[in-house]
Amino acid sequence: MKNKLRELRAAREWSQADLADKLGVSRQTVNAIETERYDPSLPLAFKAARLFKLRIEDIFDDNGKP
Amino acid sequence: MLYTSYMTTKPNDPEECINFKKVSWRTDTKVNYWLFIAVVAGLANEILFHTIVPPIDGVLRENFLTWPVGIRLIIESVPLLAGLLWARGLARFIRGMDELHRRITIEAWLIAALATLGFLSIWPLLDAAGISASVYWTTHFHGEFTDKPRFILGFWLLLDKPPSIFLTLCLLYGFYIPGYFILIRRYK
Repeated sequence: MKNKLRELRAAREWSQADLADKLGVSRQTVNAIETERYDPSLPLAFKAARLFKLRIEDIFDDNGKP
Repeated sequence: MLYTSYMTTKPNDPEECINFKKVSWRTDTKVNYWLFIAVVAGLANEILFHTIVPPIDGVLRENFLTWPVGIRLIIESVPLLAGLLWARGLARFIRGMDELHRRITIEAWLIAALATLGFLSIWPLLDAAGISASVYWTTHFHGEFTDKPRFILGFWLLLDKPPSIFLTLCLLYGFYIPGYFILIRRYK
């Protein structure tokens, strides 16, 4: 799933470890999401949206897949 | 140790586990003590009460068979009960993991469980087809082992009888570790 996590993180000058810490996951999870190898769970997507003060669909884009 | 080495703070960090940067024996023991009990009890059971290798009987085997059924049942059940308690502890531990690592660990345990089941299912068939015996005799010559590595022979002889809890746990971990390393590569 495409996402803007890397851009949003870079804009705040956070490292992957910083973001992982804020989201309560491992750095590898953040890396896997950013490289689109892993789709986050719904609670984690909500957490990320709340952290960046955006809507989920503003961060994650599934290309309109049903 | 592989997956418990960095659980002093949550969430678990798979990279820390893989690189063995930090090892917490305390945490490892906390999660796995029932596994240790199951393995030790299973091994002691084998050595004391069962045929260790085809020509050698367990130390107390003859006496053991005359003991009351209830006592024998309790002794034989200890490794199984400890194994089930370990599975319960492991499930609780996995529930507390970071979500990516949880997925990888569950997949690795699923593969290990199915591979162990498959291996233990196919073994009697190989045995019945004479493959087990033929390998046994080609590695054994006039009571002396040939140049095959000892640990392979030991493992082979361990398999040359009905599966035990000890063997099952060894197989489970044997399949889990490579499975884990293969699966983690997907997310790097």
